[in-house]
Amino acid sequence: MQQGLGLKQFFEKATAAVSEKSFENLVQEHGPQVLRTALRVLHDASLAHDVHQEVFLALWRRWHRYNGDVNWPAYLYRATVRKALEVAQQRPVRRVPVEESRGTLPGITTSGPDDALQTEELQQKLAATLARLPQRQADAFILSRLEGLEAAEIGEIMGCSEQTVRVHLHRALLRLARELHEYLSPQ
Amino acid sequence: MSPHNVTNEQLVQFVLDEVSCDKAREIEQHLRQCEPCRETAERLKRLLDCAGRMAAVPVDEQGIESANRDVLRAAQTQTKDQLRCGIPSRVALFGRTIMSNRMMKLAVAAVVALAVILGLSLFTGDGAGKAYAKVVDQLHQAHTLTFSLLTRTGVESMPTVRIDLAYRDTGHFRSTSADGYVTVLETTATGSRGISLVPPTRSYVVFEIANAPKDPAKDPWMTIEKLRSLPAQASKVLGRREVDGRMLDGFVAQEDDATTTVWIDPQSGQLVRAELGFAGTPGMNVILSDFQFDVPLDDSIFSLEPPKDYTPFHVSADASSVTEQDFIEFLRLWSNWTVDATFPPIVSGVEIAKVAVQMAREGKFVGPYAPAYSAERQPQVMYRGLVFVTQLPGGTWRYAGQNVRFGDPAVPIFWYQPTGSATCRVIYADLHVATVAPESLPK
Repeated sequence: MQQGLGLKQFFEKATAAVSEKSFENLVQEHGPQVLRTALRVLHDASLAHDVHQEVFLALWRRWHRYNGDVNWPAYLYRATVRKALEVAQQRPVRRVPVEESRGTLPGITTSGPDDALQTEELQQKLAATLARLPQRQADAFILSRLEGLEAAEIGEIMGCSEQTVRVHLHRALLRLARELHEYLSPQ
Repeated sequence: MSPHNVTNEQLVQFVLDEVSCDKAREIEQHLRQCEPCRETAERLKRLLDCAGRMAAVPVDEQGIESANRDVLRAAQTQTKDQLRCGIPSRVALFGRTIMSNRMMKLAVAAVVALAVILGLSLFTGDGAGKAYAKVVDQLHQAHTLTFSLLTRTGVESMPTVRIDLAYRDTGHFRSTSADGYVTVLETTATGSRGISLVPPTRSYVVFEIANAPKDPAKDPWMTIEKLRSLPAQASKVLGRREVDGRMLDGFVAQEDDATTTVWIDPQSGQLVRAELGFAGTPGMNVILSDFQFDVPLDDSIFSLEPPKDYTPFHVSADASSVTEQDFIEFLRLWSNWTVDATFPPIVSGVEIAKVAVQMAREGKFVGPYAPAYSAERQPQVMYRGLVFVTQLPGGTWRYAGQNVRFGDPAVPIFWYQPTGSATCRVIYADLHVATVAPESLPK
């Protein structure tokens, strides 16, 4: 009986080790994409890190339910977008001081402090507004405009046709343009 | 192009470069002349620019490594905590580990082989089979038994019904619902007698039913007998799974039209939960839990004496020679009784009473009794109709009358295969009956 108990514990530990290893491989393979997606939506490294943690740890808690038949890129895209939009909606839109905004966002040229402020604020507002869109419209916008995926790839992730992806994207654009009217109109 | 012949959708396609060159020229021409459309197009372009800048943000490798490291550390901490507490967090998960590469598959195969060689039998084998047999024996031998019963009715307005049950050997039965409905039943070799309290009306029904079906497992009141008639060996072993947050060993016993799944605590060997499913009533299953064996039960809880301030209502029904016609009459009664002329949602005796009360509360009946049926006759018709169904051998009948209205001769609502017959009988929504070959039965 004692030997049986010892073997049982060994078996449990071995199984746990195998399971952890496969999860580790998943994190190594897809972690960068999760972090990038979160960062593109939130534009905040710390928040993006938190989203990355939450997405993978939530998956780990349910790890035993998955039997290998999972499209991981699609699953993780969806989970990350959901989580990032949740965070975006709860985060207050920050009015960025002029000194802080200059040079914060790489690749962005601004003609002055007001432009930089508007850009930062607009991006946060955009993320918060995305969180209020119907889920499929938000997904289509993020996967197309932030992730740069083609309609066919987006259709695979969303489980719909390319045409449907375009419909969702177009509606998302019109709605965002309407809701962000004051931020998008010329001064 | 005339003013405002350009839609917002076309503007979106234009800024996304999804239109032909000719169309693009037309839209450009329009934008030169139409300020509202021009402003919309400009807002869309700024929106796309903003998204483009958001997409351009880089992620450094250090950030990625740090994030990955943190999540793996947190995952390992969770696992260690579980193992330290003696919770077999991953044992039952073995068969479901995700395989992402060949090395992982080989590693898992090695662990499986090791387990086999060392003679571990976590999921199947004599140890687990004995646990099931012990529980079945306990059920067979118990002099008293109490448990809770949750029924999924398949009825949208009342998805579940929960009652507490007490049983004393031989043939003494008491059920109590959360809202105070009590039924006490005493069964003998020749029939049953009992009392049901109906608190909303402060009345009670005293019933005596002669010539009740001989097999207690088919009696509409005796769900418990399904458990007590479980076979000594399970048909199938499910292994260890998480059920309601607990790791339990599952076993399936199949008998006639009933599938019983039994869940046993591997540490204590105690019965934790049992699930009954019935092939003839898909969507409706029963969950039994909170079992207690051989607890002292006072005689008073099985008393057939009614409360003093309740009004009596007697039912007598002879259950002998129940036929198809009894069932048809029951269906006719019910469709006359409902305001929308629909048939009953289920044809299970135990739960249909609760369903009927719920429907009455929702105003789904035309009155306390169906037109042309008296207070004395209606319960008899209902009982005989339901007994007809319970006497049918398991797996030989199917009811499809939920939400179906009386009248359409082309809509089948019930079919069954009489014992010893090569053909089947089908009852349609106008209550005519046809004999059909089994291969012609509705799907």
